[in-house]
Amino acid sequence: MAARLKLEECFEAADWGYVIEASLLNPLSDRRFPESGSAVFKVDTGFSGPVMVTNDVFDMLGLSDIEAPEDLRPTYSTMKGPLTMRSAPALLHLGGRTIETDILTPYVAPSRMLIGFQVLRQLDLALVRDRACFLKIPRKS
Amino acid sequence: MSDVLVKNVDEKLYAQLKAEAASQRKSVGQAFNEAVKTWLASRPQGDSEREMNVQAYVRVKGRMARHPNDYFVIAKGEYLGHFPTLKEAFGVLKKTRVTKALVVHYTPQGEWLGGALEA
Repeated sequence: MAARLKLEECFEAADWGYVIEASLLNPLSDRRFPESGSAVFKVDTGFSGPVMVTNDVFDMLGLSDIEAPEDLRPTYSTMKGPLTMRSAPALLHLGGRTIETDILTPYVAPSRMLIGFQVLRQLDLALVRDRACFLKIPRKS
Repeated sequence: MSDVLVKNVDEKLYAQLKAEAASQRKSVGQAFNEAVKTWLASRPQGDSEREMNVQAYVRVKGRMARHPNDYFVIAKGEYLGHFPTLKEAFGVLKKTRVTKALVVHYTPQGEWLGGALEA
C-alpha cells in the first residue's frame, strides 16, 4: 500500500508545526483571500471544526454579509472554557480541490488561521517528518 | 444623561474635541453626543436587511431539522428554499443579485483541544 502513495505537494514551516496552503472564496461577493496565490493555515487535528480565520480576514472576505444568525453560532469546548464562533459558508481551495465548508472566527478571543479536523478528514494528507504533504492516490473509476 | 469613563481615548483627538467644543461654547459631553450621533447616522444601513433575513430565518428554522444536510437560503426577508450544496444555494442567490443573505444549515458543536489554541 505504502509503495503506491506518491507525495504531490508538500508544505513546511519548521517553527509553526504542520501547515498547508489554501485560499478562500466568498461565493456571494466573489471576494477571495488572498487575492492571488494562497495563504498558510496551520493543520490543527485538535480542532474538531472546519476552518478558522482571523477576524480581519473574516471581514475582508465580506463574510459578515452572509454569516449565520446568533443562535446558529457554533460553540467549541476549549481548555479555557466554551468559545463561541461567528460562522459563514464559503469555498476552500486547496490541493487542487474545492471544498464547501464553514469559515469560523472567534466572537471574542484571539483568532488564528487554521484548518480543523472537519476539513482534514476530507483530504489525502500525510504528515511526513516536518512536512505536511498532499498525496496522489490513484482512484478506482 | 450618564457619566461614563472612556478608556484609551487618543490624547490629540480629545484635545481637538475639547478645543472645538469650547470654541462653540459647548461642553465636551455635548460635543461627544453630537459626534456619536453623526457617526451612528453614517453607518451602513444594511443591518435592517439582515434583520429582515433573521426574522425570515426564525419563521423557517423549525424545518431545518427535517433537512439537516441542506443549506437554507434567505434573502430580502424571504425564504428562497433549501439546497443540498452551497453551489446550488449561491446559484439561486446570484440570480437575485443581493449583497446580503443568510445561507444556514445545522451546525454541530465541537471541541478544540490545546494545540494551536496555546500557540
